[in-house]
Amino acid sequence: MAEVLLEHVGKKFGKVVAVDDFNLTIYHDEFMVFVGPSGCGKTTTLRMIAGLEEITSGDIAIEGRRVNNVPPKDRDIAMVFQNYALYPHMTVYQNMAFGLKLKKVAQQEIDKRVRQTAEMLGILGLLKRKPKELSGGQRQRVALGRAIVRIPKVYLFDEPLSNLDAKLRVQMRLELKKLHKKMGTTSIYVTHDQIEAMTMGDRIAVMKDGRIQQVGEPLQIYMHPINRFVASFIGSPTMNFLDVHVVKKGEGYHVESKGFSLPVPEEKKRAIAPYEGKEVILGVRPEDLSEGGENRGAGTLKAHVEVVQPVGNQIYVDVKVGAHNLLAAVPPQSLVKTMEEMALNPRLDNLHYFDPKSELAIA
Amino acid sequence: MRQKRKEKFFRFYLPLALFLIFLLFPFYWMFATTFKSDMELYNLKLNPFLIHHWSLLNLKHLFFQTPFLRWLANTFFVAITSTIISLSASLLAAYGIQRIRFKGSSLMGIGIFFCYLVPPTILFIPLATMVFKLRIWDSLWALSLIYPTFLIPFCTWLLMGYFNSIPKELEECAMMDGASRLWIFWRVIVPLSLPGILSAGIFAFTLSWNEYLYALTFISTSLKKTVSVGLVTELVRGDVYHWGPLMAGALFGSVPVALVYSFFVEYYVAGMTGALKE
Ligand SMILES: Nc1ncnc2c1ncn2[C@@H]1O[C@H](COP(=O)(O)OP(=O)(O)OP(=O)(O)O)[C@@H](O)[C@H]1O
Ligand SMILES: [Mg+2]
Repeated sequence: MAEVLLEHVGKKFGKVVAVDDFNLTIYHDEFMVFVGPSGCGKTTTLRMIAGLEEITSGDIAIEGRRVNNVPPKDRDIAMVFQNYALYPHMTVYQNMAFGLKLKKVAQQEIDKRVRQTAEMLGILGLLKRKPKELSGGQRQRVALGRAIVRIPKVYLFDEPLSNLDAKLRVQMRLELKKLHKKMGTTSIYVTHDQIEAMTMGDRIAVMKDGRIQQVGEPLQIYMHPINRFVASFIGSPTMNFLDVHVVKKGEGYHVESKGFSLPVPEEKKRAIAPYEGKEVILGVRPEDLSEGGENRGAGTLKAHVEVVQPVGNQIYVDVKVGAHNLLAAVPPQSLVKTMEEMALNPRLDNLHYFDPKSELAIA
Repeated sequence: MRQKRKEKFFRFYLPLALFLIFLLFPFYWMFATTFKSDMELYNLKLNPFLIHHWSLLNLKHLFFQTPFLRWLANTFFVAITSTIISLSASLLAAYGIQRIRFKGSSLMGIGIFFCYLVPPTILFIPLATMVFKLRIWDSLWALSLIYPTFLIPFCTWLLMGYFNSIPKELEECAMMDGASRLWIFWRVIVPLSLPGILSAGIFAFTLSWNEYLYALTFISTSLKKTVSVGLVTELVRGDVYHWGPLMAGALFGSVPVALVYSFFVEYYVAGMTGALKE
């Protein structure tokens, strides 16, 4: 049971706080993804788990054993680095056998395991080559292979796909996921790409400025972001944010701004009540704005189309509603044209409300 | 097309040719003087740039009337021992300073650099005392031990730069695989730094080969001299310059260095740029 436990973990580089009060349990066999913008402390956290970086405060435990002062070689962890870190003077075979040799595994066993892994990754034909004779994708596989042959307790991946082109990245994403299904080893995967995070993670930890913002399953985070940062970071294209006013209308509440007024759904009523007469931030995902006929009811927005960007499976439409600029994602069949008027129907149940000061979700 | 070639001629080949002539002329002069007889050498009516009658008398003088071969052997011994000593010390020092970031490691790096800046003319007085106390005065070992005082700082700095170009992740990955520092050093760092080590070695070798001041100060027996000192002290008698043998000695003394360079020139360039290409 390789469970990784981080309790109040912190890291300072001099005065720079890289990671602050990091609390997380990564369960046995789980595929955990750390996601966040550049410089938020993902790599640092990973390196602390690996033992490559001393921790300033807190505790890290692997399999129930506190490892704060355990050197990397005794943690039984394998890491795939962003630049792959293959040994340039060794062949692919030697690269993969390196760790096993150090562990004094029998030569026959080494050979068997290297070949098996190479076959699984489709690099059997490359075993005799040196890293400089490989393409980026092949190097990436070798780096993976070198980690896999060792059969460690935990895998750490630091943006292993970021050097690949978009197509290969999608393919490798899938293969990594399959590989994890097959081997089921606890894995921690770092990325700044939210799509990678969504598609690969059993759970995601969204980070910002060295702190965890939210931990949860991908869809849960997408549906219920805990604050404005998570809401804007997860989901593509980015969520629209509008400054609106809360007003009471009859039994219920509306959020209003110049040019529109949207009813707040029943289940949010309790939460929004204290904001009556005050400002809140309304969050609308582009995909929750659907094209609708005129006057479909309370929620319809009158929008002026400014820019139309077809991306294939969708059309991104930049519109102006009142004084606000919004982005809507509509189906490709849609006939929207620049400089025309259109009607947009927000999915009222999927709207998000945030406190303007704390930026926390109101729910 | 033509225009371009012309331009390249003036901007590249012409300056290069001038530069080459400037650099290679002393060697030609050495060569020409070596194979001229004294008669021809001192005859001002002949064209001094040409050899009119080839003569081997100067070589004979050099090889049979001076212990030139012995000097060569001495120089080899000193250059090789001091290079080995300096390289082994600087490899460890550079690795330690660059990668095991102990307290004061960067200060140490700077300190070593300052050692290099102290002029030998100042150092040789205290060094003389040490050489006396160690009872290695007038022995080749004196040179083998003294040359590293300026070779180690130089090699250490060169290797530090080289180690710096090797990604840290390579070592970290090995560390997670269970390798010890020493294992990493031998199996990862040293093989990867071979160009750097070679160029440091070549530099150390040439510097000790050409060294003059310490060799002059600490060696007095004729048979223990190195080439650079031997030639000057034995072939310049008072104000009489035996130009022929002197130039022959200079020529044969520089051949080994030229060979070493031409042999390792590729590594040397790679070592200087310090780039590690995957
Ligand atoms: N060795 C170091 N010395 C000083 N500061 C550091 C060091 N390593 C990281 N930092 C700082 O710690 C913070 C977190 O860095 P980290 O590398 O963990 O970010 P990251 O989330 O991995 O970013 P990226 O997505 O760009 O890789 C940054 O502000 C960085 O400047
Ligand atoms: Mg990083």
